[in-house]
Amino acid sequence: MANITVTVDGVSYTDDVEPRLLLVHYLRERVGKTGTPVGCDTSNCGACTVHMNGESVKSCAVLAVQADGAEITTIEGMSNGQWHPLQQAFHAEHALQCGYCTPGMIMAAADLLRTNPHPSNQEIRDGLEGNLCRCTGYENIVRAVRRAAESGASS
Amino acid sequence: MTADTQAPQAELGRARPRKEDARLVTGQTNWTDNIVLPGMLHMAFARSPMAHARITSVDVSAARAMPGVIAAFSGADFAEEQGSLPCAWPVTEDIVIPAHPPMATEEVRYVGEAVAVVVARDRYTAADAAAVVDVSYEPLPPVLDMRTALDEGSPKVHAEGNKSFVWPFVQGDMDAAFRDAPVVIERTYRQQRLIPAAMEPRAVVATCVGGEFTIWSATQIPHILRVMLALVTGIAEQNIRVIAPDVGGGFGSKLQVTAEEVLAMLVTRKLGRPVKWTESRTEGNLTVHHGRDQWQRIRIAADRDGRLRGLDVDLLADMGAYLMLVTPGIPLLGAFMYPAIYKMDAYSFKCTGVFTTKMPTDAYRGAGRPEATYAIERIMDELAAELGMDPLEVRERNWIKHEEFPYTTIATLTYDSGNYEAATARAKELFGYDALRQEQTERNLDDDPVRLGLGVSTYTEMCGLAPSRVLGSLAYGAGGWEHASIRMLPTGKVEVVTGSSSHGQGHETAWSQIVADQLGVPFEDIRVLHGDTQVSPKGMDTYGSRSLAVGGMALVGACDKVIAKAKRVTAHMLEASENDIEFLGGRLQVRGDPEKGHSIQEIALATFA
Repeated sequence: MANITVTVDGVSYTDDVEPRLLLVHYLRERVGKTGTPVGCDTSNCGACTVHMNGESVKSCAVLAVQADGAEITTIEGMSNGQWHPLQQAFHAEHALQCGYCTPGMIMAAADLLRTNPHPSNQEIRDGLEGNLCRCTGYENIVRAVRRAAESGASS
Repeated sequence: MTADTQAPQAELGRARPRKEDARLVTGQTNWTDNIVLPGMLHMAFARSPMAHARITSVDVSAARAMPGVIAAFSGADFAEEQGSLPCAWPVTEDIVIPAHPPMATEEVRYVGEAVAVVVARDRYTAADAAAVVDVSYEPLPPVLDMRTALDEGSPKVHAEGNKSFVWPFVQGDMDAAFRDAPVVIERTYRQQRLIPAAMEPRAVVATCVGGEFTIWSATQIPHILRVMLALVTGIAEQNIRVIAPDVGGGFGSKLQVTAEEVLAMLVTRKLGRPVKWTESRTEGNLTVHHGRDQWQRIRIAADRDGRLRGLDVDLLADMGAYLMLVTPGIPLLGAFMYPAIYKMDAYSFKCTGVFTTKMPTDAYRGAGRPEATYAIERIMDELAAELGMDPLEVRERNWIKHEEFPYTTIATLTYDSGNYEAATARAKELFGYDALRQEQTERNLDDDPVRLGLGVSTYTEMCGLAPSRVLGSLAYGAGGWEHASIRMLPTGKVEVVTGSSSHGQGHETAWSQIVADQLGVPFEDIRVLHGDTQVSPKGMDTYGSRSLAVGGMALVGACDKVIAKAKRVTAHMLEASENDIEFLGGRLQVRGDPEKGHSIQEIALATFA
């Protein structure tokens, strides 16, 4: 067992964890952050994307011990009284159906807009290439990210 | 119309942001894998690494001895109670439906077939324990190619042989159509096997308290699952409650009754503690039923002017190792779609269902029908090439003209309406078809190193499985109806219960829109309930594009009953004749005296008070 201290959505946690425990399982099963789903556990689909120290990571491909001392933001930490512009934009543009990919899409898109506040459609597609959606196709997701960018989501 | 009545049809056709998004974009979802119950244990399966083998021993002692492992079972431990997974679509009288134990006991017939289950305190320990289950196999020859599976001397998947069924369907005089036909074209097309892969992996949670079971499952079919779990396990149906919470996509892959669902029930009964199983993606790729997998031999006869005379389809369909819920019926859905929108004199369809040592196939997107479209459209192109005609021209020569509707196709379906001429003209205009053809010709003439390819296809599909002559003719094991109930609450709000079960389609929004229009109540005042057999006691669930077409009409029927009852109540309250009460824009009022009346929401309170 290893002892780690992780800040998740603004709250600090100290836990003993197995060295092999995946960050996504730590978040879901120890911290109770079930808003972050597991889609493939092989880093293919991006559904489990969260922010670690401000950058997007696929939490199924990070060990909990690697997050020791880190600050993690999940989809559940994105709304602060009101929805994040990306959450609003995904809703407004009908950028989801079943919604299983949505937390990862929003977290990846937030990181994209942080590094590129005004991406072109192609840059949005490139930026989200690590995230799979099975229901909608990607048109509305691209529209949602563009809408959020236009509303100043990166600020 | 007075100012306080709403315009009818205010909601239908309106692009409403969805009600379900509030939980989906914020991570407040309730996926099956999120569920945690007190004392809950985790299941993991040991699975066959071989396509075909005899099981000579299963030793779970090492798994059981690991710290944190509560139990480990082989198939033999459940032999007396696990039953056989159901096939609800026996397509012919003499179809071979082999026994399909949820866990293999004597023989494994595909890679991934479950041979043992371990139960542990957490999912990591369960996975560790499953890895040390010691299974001895005696390899048997696999059967991988359905084209040779029916040969004499082929290894057998089941003692009964490799043929499950032959389903023929002939209309018109095939001999006359093909005899002396100026053009006959024959092709063989491959429909590859594929893996459906919904974003949410399958998951199940089961608990049994005092003999009453609750099963949460990432399923498209909570109602059918409940019936089937009762039939498979012998557990009384009234003691089984199935809940499909938020479900992350299905595409047909969650239209199934799975080994893991049955075993979760049996394990929770045996141990007296709740259990959870969630598949890994690798496990899902192996053991979620697969889609497609057919060889299509297709032959057409035509005149030199492109007119179709006859169509002959001979299908080999890979069932995989067993027949699952609707496995044999899937390729037959194509039988009605091969003639597509074309007229012809004769049509023959034959499908042979073949067993191989592979994961069973079953419903996947379109299920049999896109396969048919692919084949007929490919061969229409071949016909055009043979005759030197434009591919659209050869299609137009054969399709049903708009003045010919309603038209009964050679496959016996009646198409009520259509205008393929107008739709195609519009598509050509949008696409710039004529200009592109011109460019294509020029590039060819110029020997341009960059050439242009243009592809066209028509597409039509029967869908919305409902009570019908076709469904009734196919020995399908369910009636195809749908259920709805509307509950007017005392405060005027509305609870809508539907038997269709959303896994991403947006029922909560669309159903609210329908009811808002029908009852004249605000969209926001409506709540839609679904996916729980205790809340929604009857249903046929969601697949085959049926939810809105069938479930939506059930809603309208239920609304009509509410309105009829509200009229009686209004008549009583106003001391008027029921026949004099009219319902307009959510208001029940005396005909000719619209000031005298109540909104349906006021009537709801009146029935409470």
